[in-house]
Order: sequence, then C-alpha cells, then structure tokens
Amino acid sequence: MPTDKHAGHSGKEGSPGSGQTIQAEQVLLPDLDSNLERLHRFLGGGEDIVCRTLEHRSFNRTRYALLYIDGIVDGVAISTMLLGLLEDANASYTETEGAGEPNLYRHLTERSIAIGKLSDVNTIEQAGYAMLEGCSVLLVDGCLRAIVMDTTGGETRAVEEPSSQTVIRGPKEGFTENLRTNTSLIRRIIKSPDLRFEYKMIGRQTRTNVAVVYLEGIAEREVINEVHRRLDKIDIDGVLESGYIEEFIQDRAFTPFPLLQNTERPDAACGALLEGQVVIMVSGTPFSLIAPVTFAKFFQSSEDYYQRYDIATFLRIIRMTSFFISMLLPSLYIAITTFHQEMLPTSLLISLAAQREGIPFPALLEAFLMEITFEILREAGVRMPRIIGPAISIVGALVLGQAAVQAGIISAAMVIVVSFTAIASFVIPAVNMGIAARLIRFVLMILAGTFGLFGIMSGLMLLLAHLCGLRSFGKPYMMPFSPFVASNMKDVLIRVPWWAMRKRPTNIASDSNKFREGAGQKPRPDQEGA
Amino acid sequence: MKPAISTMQTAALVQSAITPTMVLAVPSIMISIAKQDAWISGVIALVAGMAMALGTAFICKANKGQLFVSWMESSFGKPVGIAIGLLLGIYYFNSFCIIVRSFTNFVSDIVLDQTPLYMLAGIMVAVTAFTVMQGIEALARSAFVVLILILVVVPLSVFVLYTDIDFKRLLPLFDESAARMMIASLPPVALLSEVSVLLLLTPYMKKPAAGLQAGLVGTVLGALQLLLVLLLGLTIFGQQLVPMMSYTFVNIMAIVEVGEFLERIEVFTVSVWFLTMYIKMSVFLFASVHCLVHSLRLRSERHMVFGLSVLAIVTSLTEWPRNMGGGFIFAVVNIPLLFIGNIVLPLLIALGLLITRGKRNKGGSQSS
Amino acid sequence: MRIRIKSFLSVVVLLFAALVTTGCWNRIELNEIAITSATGIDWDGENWIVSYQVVIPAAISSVTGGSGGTGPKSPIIVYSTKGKTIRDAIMHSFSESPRKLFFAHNRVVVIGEKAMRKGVNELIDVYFRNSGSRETVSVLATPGTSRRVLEQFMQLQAISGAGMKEIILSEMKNTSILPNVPVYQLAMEITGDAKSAVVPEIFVSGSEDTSSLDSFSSTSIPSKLKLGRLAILKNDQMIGWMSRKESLGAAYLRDSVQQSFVVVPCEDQEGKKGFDTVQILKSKTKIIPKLQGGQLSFKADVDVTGTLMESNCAQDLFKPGVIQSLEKEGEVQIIAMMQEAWKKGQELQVDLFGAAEKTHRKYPKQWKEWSNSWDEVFAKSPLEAKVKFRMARMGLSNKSFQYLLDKKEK
Repeated sequence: MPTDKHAGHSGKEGSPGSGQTIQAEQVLLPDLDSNLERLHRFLGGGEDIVCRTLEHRSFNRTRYALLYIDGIVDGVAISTMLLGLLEDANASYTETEGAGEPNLYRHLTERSIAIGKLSDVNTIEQAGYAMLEGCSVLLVDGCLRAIVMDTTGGETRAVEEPSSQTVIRGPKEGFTENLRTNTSLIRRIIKSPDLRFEYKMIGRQTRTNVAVVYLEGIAEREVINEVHRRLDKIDIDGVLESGYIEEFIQDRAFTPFPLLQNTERPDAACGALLEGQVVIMVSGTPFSLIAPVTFAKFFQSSEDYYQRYDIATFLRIIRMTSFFISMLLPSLYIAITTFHQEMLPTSLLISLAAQREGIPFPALLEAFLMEITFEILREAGVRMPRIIGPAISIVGALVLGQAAVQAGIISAAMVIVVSFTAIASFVIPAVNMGIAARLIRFVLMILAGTFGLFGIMSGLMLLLAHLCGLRSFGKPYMMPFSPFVASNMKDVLIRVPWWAMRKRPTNIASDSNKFREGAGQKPRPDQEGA
Repeated sequence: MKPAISTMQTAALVQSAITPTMVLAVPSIMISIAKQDAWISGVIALVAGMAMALGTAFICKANKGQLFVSWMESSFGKPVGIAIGLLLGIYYFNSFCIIVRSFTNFVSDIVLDQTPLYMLAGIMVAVTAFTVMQGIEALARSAFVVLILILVVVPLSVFVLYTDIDFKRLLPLFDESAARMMIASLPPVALLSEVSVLLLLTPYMKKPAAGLQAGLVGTVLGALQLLLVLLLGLTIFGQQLVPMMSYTFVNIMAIVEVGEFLERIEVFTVSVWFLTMYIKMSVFLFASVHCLVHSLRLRSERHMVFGLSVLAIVTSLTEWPRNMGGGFIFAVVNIPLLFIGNIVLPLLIALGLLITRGKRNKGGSQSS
Repeated sequence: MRIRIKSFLSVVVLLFAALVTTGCWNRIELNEIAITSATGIDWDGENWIVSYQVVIPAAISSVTGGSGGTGPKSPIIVYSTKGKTIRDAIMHSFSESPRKLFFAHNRVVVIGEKAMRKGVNELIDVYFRNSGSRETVSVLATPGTSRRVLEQFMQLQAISGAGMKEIILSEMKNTSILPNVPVYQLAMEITGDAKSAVVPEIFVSGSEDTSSLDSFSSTSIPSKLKLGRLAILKNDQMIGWMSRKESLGAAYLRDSVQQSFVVVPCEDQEGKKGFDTVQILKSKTKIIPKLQGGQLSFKADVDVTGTLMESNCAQDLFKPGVIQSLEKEGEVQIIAMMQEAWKKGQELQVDLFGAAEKTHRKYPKQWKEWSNSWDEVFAKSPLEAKVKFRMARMGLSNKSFQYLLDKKEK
C-alpha cells in the first residue's frame, strides 16, 4: 500500500478515532524494546500481531525485529523475506565499516530485504498504521527510523465474472473487493501513460482507500478538481461501500434518480474513462463510481459496443421503452380503465369489464396491492437463502397470481399488467435507475387514480422539470436531449457504427482532445480493391 | 453561476408562452368571424406576430446583459425602474391567474368535469411552482423537450386525419370582407404579443444577440400551429360547424378512427397538450416572480413562488364565475390586457429608451 | 436547503391530500358502467323515448370464451326511458339502471322515422355538447320504432350495435349504395350550403320476433337486420326515402362510391340475351356547375374502373368491340342511375349531391342571391352526366363459360 500517502494523511487527520485520546506523535527511540513495547500498545496487542526478533552476526550483534499483522499480509512474501533476512543475519561480513545502527539499516535496505517496495517511517503511529494496512515493519535497535515493507496480501476473492451486470458478449472479468486488483484490471486494459490514479483515504476508522482514476487530457480538469474537492470534504468514520461516498458527493440530495453510475465491470469503467469520465474506486467493494453521468447513460450497457450497431440500437430502444413501461404501465392502466374508458377498443373494454365483475376493490387499490405484493416477492427473492429460491417462485406465481384471480380478488388483466411491469423493470441495465422507476411508479399510480391521464401528465411534468434541473458534477443530467447536443445523439437512443462515432461525447470529455478515431474508416472493400 | 439558456430553448419558451391558449380556443372564434377565410386571418396574425417579435428583439438589443429590472433602473432611474418592474410583475401575475383559470376550465370541460376546480387549480399551480423553483434553466430545458414532443405528435395527428381532409372546403377564397378578416386576426395577434416575454428572457440567454431568432422562431412556430388547427378545422368540418366547438383541436382529434383499435385519441393528444400548458404557466409564473423579486429586492425567490402560488389559486378560482367558459376567458377578457402588457408597455419602454439615449448622447457631447 | 425540504414536503403533503380526498369525482370503475353499444331515439308525439342496448360483459365473454356453464345468457339488454328532452330521458335511466350508462362505445344511433321527421338538431347538440359520447357514431334511420331494431339479435356478432356498424361499413366499402353517416358528418351536411343530408335505413326483415336466444339454436333465424333505403333530410327533418337504385345513383353523384357493381345487359352473336356483372373498383365524380345565360346547369364527370366478375353471354372477350360495348352499356347504366337520383332530388327539392357547395365555390357572387332560394334554383337546374367507363380486368378467364359450351355444341 502507498505508505507515503498515508504518512501525510495521518498528519492531517490528527489522531483519528473517537476512542483514542489525542496524543503527541510518539517518535521512535534508539531503544528497540521500548519501541516494540510502545508499538504493541499502539496496536492494542492481539494475537495476530507477529513479532520476530533477530540478531545479526555482524554489526556488533545488533538486534532488530520484524513485525506484521498476520492474515492481511502476503504469506509467501513474508517467508521469502524472512528467509533472506535469516541468511543475511547468519552471514558474517568482514568489511563492516563500523558497528551500530546506521550501517545495519543501510545494509538491510540495500542488500538484504527481498521486497520491492520499501519506505521509511519515524514514528510509532506511522509504523502502526502501515502495519494495519498489511505492511511489515522492521525495527532496528538504536535506529530512529523503521523500514516499512509492502507485503500487503492475504486472502481476497479471485477475479470472477460480475454477478450483477452480466453480458452475453464481452469480457467476463469483474472488479473485486481489493483496490489493487481493481486498479490492475484497469491498467491492463488502458496501457496509457496518461492514465492517472490519485489516492485518498476516507473514513476515520476504516481508513478506506479511494482511488480517483481518469485519463489526463481526456477528462475535464474542472470535473477532476470538483471530484477531489467533494471527496476531501467527506468526514465519516467508516466507508464500507461506494454507496457511502455516492451520497456525499452527488449534486442533489433529494432525487430518486442516481446521479452517479456504478459498475463492477472493468471494461465499462474503461469505456467511461475513454469518454472523459472520472472513475472513483473504493477499496472493499467491487462497485466503482462513474461521474459525471447523464440520464441516457443508464440505458447503455457495455455490451452495446460489442454487438453490432443495429442490434445495439434495437436493444436500446427496447430498454428505453421498458423504462417507460415499468414507470407508467400500471398508472396508465388505472387512468384508462377508471377515467378514460373511451380510449379502449370496445372488445378489450368488454373483456376487461367482464374480468372486473365481482372484484371488490377499485382498480387503484387493486394495482397497489399487486404492486406491493410483487415488491415484497422481489425483496424476498433477494434476501432469502439461495436454496429456498424455487419455493418462493412457486408461491409467487401460483398462489398470488393464479389463485388471486380465480378467487375473484384480483382481475386477470391486473396480474398481466403487474407482471409485465415487473419484467420490464429488469430490462434496465442499471439497477438503481430501475429502482427509481419503481418508486416513481407508485406516485404516478396515485396521481392516475385521482386525476386520470391529467394526473399522469402532471406527474410527468414534475419529473421532466426535476430531471431538467438535475446536474451531475455540473453537467446537465438530460444532456443530449436538453440542452440539445446533436453530436451526442449518435450514442443515445441509437448507436451508430463505431466508425461514425469520431467524437467523444461533447461537453463531457475535455475539448482539447475531441476525436477518438481517424476519419473515413467506413469499410469500403470494393473501392479499396480498385 | 449565472444560468444560461440556448437560443432554441428560448424559442421553445416563447413558443409555449403563446401556443397552448391560442390553439385551444381561438380557432373557433376566428372561424365564426371570418368563416372559411379564417386561415387568411391566421396568416395576417403570423405576419403581425413576426413584426412584434422584431420589435421586441429590437428593444432587447438596447439591453447590455442586465436583468430586466436592473436594466430599467439603470436607464430610467430607480423609482421608474421599480415601478415598471412592479407593473409587469402584476401584469404577469394577472395573466398567470387567467391562464390557470382557463386551463382549469379546459381540463374540467374535457376530462374531469366532476373534479372540483380547486383541486385542479391546486395541482396545476403546485406543479408549476415546482417547475419554476427548478430555475429558468430547467424550465427552458423542459420547454425544449416538450417542444420536440409536440413537433412529433402534431404531424402524427395530421397524418391520421389525412383521409378526412378536403381542401375544397376552403373555397371560395376571400368570401368575407377584409374588415372581418382583420377582426378575426385580433385574438391571435393579442396572444402572439406574448413574445414580449423576451424582454425578461434575453438577459439569460447565452447569446443575447440571438434574441431576434428566438423570438421569430417561437412566434412562427406558434402561429403555424394555429394555422394548422385552423386549416384542419376548416378542411375537416367546414366553416359552419366549427363555431359550435369550444375547443376545435379536441373535436378534430375526436373523430380519428384508425381501424378498430385507434379511436378517441383526443384524450391522448390533450394529455400531451397538458405539458405545453404547464410550460406556459411556468413561464408566466416565472416572469411574475422574476419582476416582483427584483423590484422588491427580495433575497429568496422561493418564498415569492410560494406566496404567489397560493394567491394565484385563490384569485383564479374566485375572480371569475364558474359558468364562464374557458374559451371566453382566453379570447375576450384577455385581449385588452394583453395589448396593454405586451404592446403598449414595451412601446413605452422603447420610447423611453430612445428619449433617454438622446439625452445621454447630448450629455455626452456637452461634457466632451 | 431547509427551504428545499419544505418545498419537497409541501409537494408530498399535497399528493397525500390528493390521495386522501380521492372521492368519486370522475373515477368510475369498469364494473360501475353500463357499456351502451347502440342507442335508439323515438318520438311519440310529446316525449322523446330513448332506448339503450347495453352490453353484459360477463355474458359476452362466456359466449366467446365458451366457459359459460349455466347455458346461454343474453349478451345484451335493451331498455327505454322517456323524457321531454333527450338528455332528460337519459337522466331517467339512473332510476332504473344499477350502472351509469356509458356512451363512449356507442357504435350506432338508430332513429325512428317519427323522430327523424321531427328533426335531429337536438341529437346533434347532445353529441357536440357532451364529451362522453363520440361524434363518430353512425346514424341510422328505421321506419318503425328504434327499440325493435335494438332488440334484434344478430348472428356472428353478439353485440348487435357493433354489428350494425360493421354492416354499414362493409356495405359502404363493397357496394357503396348507402353511405356510413357519422354524427359529425350529418351535422356538417345539415349546416352545409345545401342544408340537406342523407341517413341510411336499417330495418328488421321478417316478421317473427328474434329477440329470444332460442333462435341461436337453429341455422336460420326468422328475422334479421337489413340495410334498406336512404332517408332524405332537408334542414334537419326527414322528408322522404330514396330507393336503393336511386341511392346508388346519389352515391355516384356524391362521389362516395368506393367499390360497387353494375349489372350490364349483354347479347351474344345470336342475339341471346344475358347479363354481365361488373365490379366497380374505382370511381371518381366531379360535379361542375355551369352558368349560361342566367341558367345554371350541372355537369357530372364520372371516371369508373371496373373488372368483369361474371358473364353469362357467350362472348369472346378478346374480340374487338366486345369490351367496348360492355363499357358502353355500363356507362349507360350509371348515367341512368344518376339521372334518376337527380330527378328524385329535384322532385323533393333537396340538393343531396353537394351541388350547392360547388356552386358557392365557383360562383361566390351569384351565390349570395341563390342561397336563399337554393332549393328552387336546384330544382330547375338540369344535369348532364358523362361517364368514362374503363374495364381494367376480365378476371381469370378470357372467354365466358357459356361461350365455350356454345363452341363445343357447334
């Protein structure tokens, strides 16, 4: 881990944590035993703190100690290093220029330790925090500094296929909980010197590492600065997931719409970087944030760019339609069947009316019952243990759907409407946008049940005004539609072929680097042949 | 950050400040006056509207990027500026109330005849107030989206009505006297004069110099929609039948029958229309709040929006008796007011500007 | 920020209030409406009698779905109310129907002859004043009472109101004798320059009553609904009927022929007579008013394209002249029909053919003086009809079967 950052940070944070009393920094003393004792006390003891004391055959038999916290270090690295240290301790060096600490310290750092990344610290606190991040510390008797070795490791989940954002065609790698793994996944895709990782530490207790990733020259400077400014303002004791950060840095608190996108796909993150967006990665979660975003982004899947453009366009239109269906269908059903029956074709009206014979509830209540039932079923499906899964689907489908209709409590048409709505809400690639649609659905249902289509339109007007007023990191949320940006429309409702998308999205990417590909790449095999 | 709206968005705002009222009630009045030549009156109104847009844009040119009230203050002195601001604020508030009431009546006439008016007015004003609170930028963007929606829906409606159109119903041309045609063009000209809202909008534009384009595009779009409805009404129903329809547009859409499944789409079309009505109401509430806040030097616009909204609900419901038709309010009550607020006042401002500029120039030459 | 919370809260409170106070207002559930598929209007000399044909949805879906266990149920019920005005009569329906009558899906309005003779102004006003009923409802006239028509069951279509509309639409599309007249069109014609209109007739043919479901169990039903003549309206009152043949002539003159047919007499080489049937695929009529020496006359230019559907004369259609003679005969037939209709119109002093509009458009100045006494002017104006008949196709066979038979005999 980047201990140099950490050193500066702990200074700024003062003595973090609510439980610890504020003390002056404890400087390392020449006495090894007192240092060890104080370091132990700083870390609060514990069985997982490993302390191995060594004595060098040369250098006046100076003692030195290796400390690390078991479990969060890379075992292989530790044993290799320890092997090297022991070999070195047993060797006798004749050309010792002198006994004492400075020489042994230099000897160790320059000749002995088999670890790539080393750094110096000179206080107990710095050494302690470094250990908490998985580094090993080497204290040398009579020395006012300690060597910090980056041995971060331990058990982490392997890179697996993302579970929440699946594609049929495309890379199968997903982010993990380990920030280093995640940055490496991005590095492996974008091998550009312009790729920047800027680290922060957020959380008094959790001291979570956060990386701000962007492509220099493509991302807009103002946005990057804004991201930094907002991240720096966060003061919280723990960050367990990127959701914590999302709520602190979004532009508007009261909105059902997500103002930041999240992804667990490295390819999606890289796509965002290449379009000039900034990715915020948080240690401990596979979900990284993308900012700034626009409304339309939530309907794009990374797969759109891997499929042929015509297929992608078709799928996008399906997704947009699904969003509106999932938001509007129950309210439209209520409005039309209880206010504007004249809009229905006669035969449909008659069959709906026949179904409604004997139904005790008004359509609004009926829809509410079914929608809430469905939301409960869905939530149950997410929460319950995997093994019970099939049981719940039987209960949901059979008992609630069929039985309710046969018992004459719910009309069959309502079951169709609700299930279609439910299916449609799963089509939206971004789960948080899907949830927004679900929330709005209920408000619209009330409006529809009160004022009919006029109510729905009033609700949509509220929504439109709200959406048009939203911003994500200063960028208008409804961007390519309003304010209208013609060139961005190539990748919103439709996706044009890659060779036609020369420009990066205007107003998102920096103006200095507009073009992402050469001109005139439309395949013309016959002309080239001639 | 000072909000900035683009030229097209301004045009959309101007368009929606004009069209919703004009298309609903005016055609039937025009046709009852000018018979089958009403569309010629529409063309006259179009030309007059363009002239008014030109005039307004010309006045706007004198503004060097200041907000309206402070511009007035800097050119005429504080008391006069504040007075103009207050006057316009009250004018816009009054128009807002009229619009709320007429839309309430419209919604009540068309779909929700049993819903109490106060509920309709309440929800309309609430939505409008919310929209205004999002700021002029959000309002302008919404207006633009709605404009695009309208531009999609309107040709579609013409398309489904295609078979019912018979252009022969427009013949014979010039059957009515020119005087009647001029009279018939009065209501639309009055409504087209709403283009004067540009006076308030240009300071917010990214390119204030493009105010002329915005005004022209907005007026022309509005007038073209009026013409379209006039032509549809005349070519589908003929001149005798239209005067008995309060809302021609709605009746036109009501006869659509495409196969067995697409009928009675007027409710749907009207629903889309609700959106433009909201934009129109928002523009007027915004204008009113804008003038009053800056004249009274209030810090918070939000409080003003709240206060005015409540006042507007009460005013619009109590000022006119229930049985007064929405169309009547649009068309007759409003005309003199519109002329005063949109033509006389801007003319006075223009005159004032000319005089003060003359003075200033003189002063300049004397001092130098 | 606090203000934002407040505004947010106020919206929430408003929405909540909207939910809580949701009264009945305009909301009406599907099982609270009585879907009316046809309306009948009669005049008994003092009162309007309005009859309604109401659909019973459950019965319909069990009829079509076939899951009805309790035997056939009637898909419709018919009942009537009386009142001083049409709306008054409709209001009386609330005292006898458990559900609110819902007119938006009304397909046809059937008007009894008495009511037709009294005038249809009131009906038109009802349709334009109320947003619930649609202006595309087809108007039909019936010689007896309209209630009888509404009670009549129909095969194939359980809801006879919808069935009546389907009949008139398919009739208009395929034979074009009677036009489909929606309310708005009726209003337009009545208010038009000629102040006249036409309404197709529907009547119950056969004497026996078929308002019982039992009739569905046999393959032929004793009485059924049929389209008949054309009712002629002057101003808003009916003044007479036009026969089917005259109606077709009027349809040509009104340029409302979409597809029709004409039966043409033919003759083979030996003078044996027979008939050919020609389907009219396309027809276009132009009526041109002409003013010569103060006398107004009209010229009708008809352009007709047809296809031979049946031929029972022994003809070789490849022979030159055969087709031409067929075309010639067709022209004569159509001209005769049009003249007959024109005569009838003049006789009744009603301009059904849109001649007034055309004259108004062509001679706006003279129109000012004619408009007051148009009926007399019209009655004196002769019609000169010209038909251009073009046989486009002969169908799939080139020679008539009769021709082949005759050949064999020889």
